[in-house]
Amino acid sequence: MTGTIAGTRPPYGTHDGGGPGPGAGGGPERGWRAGMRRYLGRPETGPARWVLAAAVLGAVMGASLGFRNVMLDYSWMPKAFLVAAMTVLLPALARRWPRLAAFAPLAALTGWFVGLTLAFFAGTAYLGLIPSERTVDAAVNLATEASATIMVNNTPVPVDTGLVFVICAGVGFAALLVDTLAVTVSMPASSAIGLVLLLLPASLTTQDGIGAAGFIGAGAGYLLLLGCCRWYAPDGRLRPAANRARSGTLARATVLGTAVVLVAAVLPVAIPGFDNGAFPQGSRLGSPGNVAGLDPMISLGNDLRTQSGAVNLTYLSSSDTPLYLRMSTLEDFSGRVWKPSPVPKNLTGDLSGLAPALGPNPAVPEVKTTTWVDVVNLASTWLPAPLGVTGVVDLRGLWTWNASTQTINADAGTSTREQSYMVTSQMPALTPELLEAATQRPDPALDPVYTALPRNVPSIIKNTAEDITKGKATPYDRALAIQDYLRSPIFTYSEKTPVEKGYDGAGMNVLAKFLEVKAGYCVHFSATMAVMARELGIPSRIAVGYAPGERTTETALVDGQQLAGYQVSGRDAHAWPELYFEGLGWVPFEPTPSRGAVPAYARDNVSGASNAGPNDFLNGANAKQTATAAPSATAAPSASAAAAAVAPTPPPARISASLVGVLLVLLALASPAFSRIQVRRRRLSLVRGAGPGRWRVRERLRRLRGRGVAASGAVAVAPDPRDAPELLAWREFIASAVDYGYRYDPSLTPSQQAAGIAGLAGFESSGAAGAAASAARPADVAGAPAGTTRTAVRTAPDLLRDAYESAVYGPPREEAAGGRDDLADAVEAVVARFKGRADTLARVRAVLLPQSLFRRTR
Amino acid sequence: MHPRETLTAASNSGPGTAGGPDTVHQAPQQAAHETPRREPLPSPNGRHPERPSAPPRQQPMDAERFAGLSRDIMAAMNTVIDGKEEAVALSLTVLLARGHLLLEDVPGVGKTLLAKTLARTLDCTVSRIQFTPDLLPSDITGVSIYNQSAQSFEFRPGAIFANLVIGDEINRASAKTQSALLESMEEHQVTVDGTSYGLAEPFMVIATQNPIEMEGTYPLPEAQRDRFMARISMGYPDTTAELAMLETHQSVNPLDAVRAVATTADVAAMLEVVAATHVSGAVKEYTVALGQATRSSGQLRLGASPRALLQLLRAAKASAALAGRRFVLPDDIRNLAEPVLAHRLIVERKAASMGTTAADVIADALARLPVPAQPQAAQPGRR
Repeated sequence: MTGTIAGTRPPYGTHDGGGPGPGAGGGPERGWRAGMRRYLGRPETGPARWVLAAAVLGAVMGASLGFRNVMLDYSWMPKAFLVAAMTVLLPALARRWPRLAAFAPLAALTGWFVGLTLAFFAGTAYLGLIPSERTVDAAVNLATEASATIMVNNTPVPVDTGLVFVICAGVGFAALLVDTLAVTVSMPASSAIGLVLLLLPASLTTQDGIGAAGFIGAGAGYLLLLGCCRWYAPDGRLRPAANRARSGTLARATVLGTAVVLVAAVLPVAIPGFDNGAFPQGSRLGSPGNVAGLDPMISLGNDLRTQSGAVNLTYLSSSDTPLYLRMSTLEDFSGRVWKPSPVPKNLTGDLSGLAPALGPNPAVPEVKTTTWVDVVNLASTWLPAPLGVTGVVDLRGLWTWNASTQTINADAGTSTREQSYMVTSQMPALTPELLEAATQRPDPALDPVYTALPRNVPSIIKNTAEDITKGKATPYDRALAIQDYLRSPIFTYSEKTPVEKGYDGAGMNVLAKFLEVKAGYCVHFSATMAVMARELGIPSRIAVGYAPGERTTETALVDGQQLAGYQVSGRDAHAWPELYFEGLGWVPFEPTPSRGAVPAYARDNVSGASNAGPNDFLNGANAKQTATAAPSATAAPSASAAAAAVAPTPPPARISASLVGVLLVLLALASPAFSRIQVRRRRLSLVRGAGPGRWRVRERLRRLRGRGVAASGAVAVAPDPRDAPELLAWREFIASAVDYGYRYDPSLTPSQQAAGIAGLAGFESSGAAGAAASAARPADVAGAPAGTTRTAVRTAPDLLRDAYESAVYGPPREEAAGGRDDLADAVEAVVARFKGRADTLARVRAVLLPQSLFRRTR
Repeated sequence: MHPRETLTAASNSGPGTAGGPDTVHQAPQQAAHETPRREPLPSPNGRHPERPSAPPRQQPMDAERFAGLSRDIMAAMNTVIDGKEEAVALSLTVLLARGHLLLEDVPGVGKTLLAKTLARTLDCTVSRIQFTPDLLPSDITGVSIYNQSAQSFEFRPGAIFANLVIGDEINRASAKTQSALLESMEEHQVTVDGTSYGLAEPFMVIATQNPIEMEGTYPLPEAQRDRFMARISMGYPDTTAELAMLETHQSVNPLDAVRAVATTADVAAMLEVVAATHVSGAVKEYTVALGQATRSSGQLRLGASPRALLQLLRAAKASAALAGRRFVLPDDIRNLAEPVLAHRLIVERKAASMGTTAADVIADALARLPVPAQPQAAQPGRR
């Protein structure tokens, strides 16, 4: 181009450039359909959007292989695939029309809903697709079920519909996120966030983490996504065919990967209590090893299995028998899970003179016990206390007494953390004779929740219960028979068998399976006994808390009473049944072999048959550390799970801080401002440096291939003309103007666009002003016709326009242009001018809600 | 009077004689021949069948000389015609695009003056035909007459044999005469008695017509209007220009002061520059899209023909060259769309009754069509 070409304005350019014509509209017979087609723009052709959709789907499904250790089998996979496929299908359809492409996330959201409806609630929805009111109800029910499953079960979790629903929803959401990040806002590298979300549950809740399959699946999916985005949509736009183009994805992926490795290496050092493994795989966030307490979201699994024998609390007790410290109770048995009953309203906050709702008969002699509890390392909203509390003193914060369950619960904000308090309790002096005599029917005032059983109790439970209690007349005899049966040598204590055979948890089917296999741990034993007792008409509930723990040498003398010291660690967490005997109140039993201490009243008859463990009191101290640690750990999450479900705040409020942090980061990443900044930085850096980089690659290739085939090598890496710096600079120029309120009209020519933008930004002597400028100089008019005098001042828009016009409409250039620093500078000058002229509101809007992200500017 | 005998540009002597004999033909000869007419419709793929008739030049004209010449021509014309820079530029554009120009306006706004001024600034032969109802085709094309002394027929060239032909009030002639002119316009040749005579290059017809229906006018049929590359209306000058016009045209005819600034050789070289102007695929797409928009418009009975699009692109090339560019911009297409296309379109009667004009339809289409922005390089197989 020579100097004279600077004035590219047609000499008779009075075309006002203008706005849409006197929109008489299309022909009447074509009607709205033609208008719609015009509005939607020219449909995209080519495979790009389908390839990208398939890549997103592949990446998400690959990452979801990481659920292998969370779920028992893969039967949830088809449904998850359906949901994810629907989630990527709709945006792919929407991207056919450029005008709709910006709304792809909405389409993905719709697809997500439809997919979930189709997979789970087809019966309740209109046409099986459109959610109805009943669908919503069903979804809420499923989610509730799932949360109960999560709280009660150990990983891997048996596949039940609720959990599958939650996982499918998660997979679909990840697909939505990945699709939006990778395609809509064209940041494929950061779409890893969506994939990481899928990996989090496995890595946080299981000991084995995501496993090799999950890791390979997620990694391969991510690479697939990066590759497809790089090839098919290098600049956030689909292209008809796969073209080779530099997009900087590789460099950014490298940077991101480095950052991830650094974070994974540095974080464990920064987090206290993080002793092994790399983040997040070895993460112990929120585990009771720290003071954080038993977080239900994280304790879904057996991370507790690894908790050390660190002391949770110590206590001094005047009792001559080891004390079970109760925290909460589970009594609401739906057949699927054991749940705490809802907390009644109007509980008293006065913790003195407490009495159970249905206590023992006053005539029965009672034993008073004083217990000093010193919490070392436990944060729970349930107060550990012996059964039969009559008063608690020295407790900080607000606590309420539930007389029905005999538990003490903290109000919001309070926990047992670093509490030290004294509990007085009194229990009837239970003897077999007394219990034998308690044959009356339970008081009608007793809450029916303690006797309710679901209808579908498997026959094996009922039959077994009737078999083993044959000939036993009194409730006590029957209870003893059940306990003895469970403690008999045919049952083995094992924390692994239920997991391996797939019946972990405490549901009805689980119990049936447990009775067949005859192996399990405290959850199974106590739940079985509670159900059997109800079958036989004895009210029952499951107490969750701590087994007596370890005797220490510490002693104290208070008020003339000799107090013996105990320490309780995380592995002493336990669950046991309590049965109700009219006139005596609630009486604990110990059906779990090798755990805890069988009370004196419950063991005299059958001591010979009892299958006492090697050390009833000190389970954790023996050589099989992992074998015994695991079951004890499992009870603890139950305790906290109960706490979570009963707490006045709904479970979502208790989502751990780490997840909230992840969400915040996600929000920040997805925010338009961030996307816009990224896009601008990338475009400008490409404008500045695109040429040399591309040239270097080509040179390297040429050198590799040798001199003989140099030419062919050069041809192979011919740059895509659409990534030329002139075009990128122009695109950024338009986008910046749109951010500041320029109304982009695709029917305007580049010079009209530039003139409009220059007018908006306040540049003088721009293209549109050419005629005016020449008119202002009569001398020029005399000597030269209008239109050729525009070379006087070349403003930034002029420069950008000329470069763009010659790149797009000019004859093809022979060699690849280098970086165009002048164009990048011009873009920045325009942006600065816009910034200077805009008022504060417009400036904030341009940064926070850049319109160029929401409007089609090409 | 008889038609000029100088048929080639080279034998032209100078500006003094160029505009001199404004010939009004009323010759009574009857040309009783039927000229076989070809219909060289251009292919719609946007390729340019450039006529190779321009005299080959060894050295292509450089951009500076081109710009200088065009500037000089327009400046000279602007001294005569006040305030009509656009019409001046468009007439030069049409000349450089090898097209013909139709000036349509009310009498007395300077249509003929514009044509004559353009002829004056170029050092080339000019003839002027005043069309009347009794004008015969042979008056235009020429006639073979028997030479008694030579004992043979000899061809007397008609008024069409000039570089620039000014057809005044073309719609006053009969359809037969009009078609005789139009054949030569399209094919740059005249066939009389089975012998074809080529016309000089450059060759341009500037015809004027009055839009007002008058007695004895034969409006040009669509097919013949299609032969004209562009139609412009002069329009009334604005106040300043009219005042200046009254001043300058008071005593002396400014046309007399105009001297030719370009020779026919210069013009031929300029034509080459125009032909070498690059047209990108995007611009071609835009042109085709515009044509299709007029064809599918519900307000038009007749849309733009492929020839119209070809001429639009050629005009755009000339316009780009005049603007000092070596490539065509969508702006060129946009600016030329109305003068080049409007006179070929026929508005539906219903739309016309509501006041819609062809220009409105074109403006509407332009406001709707997205400007393509795909660089065409390195993707020869695309689409």
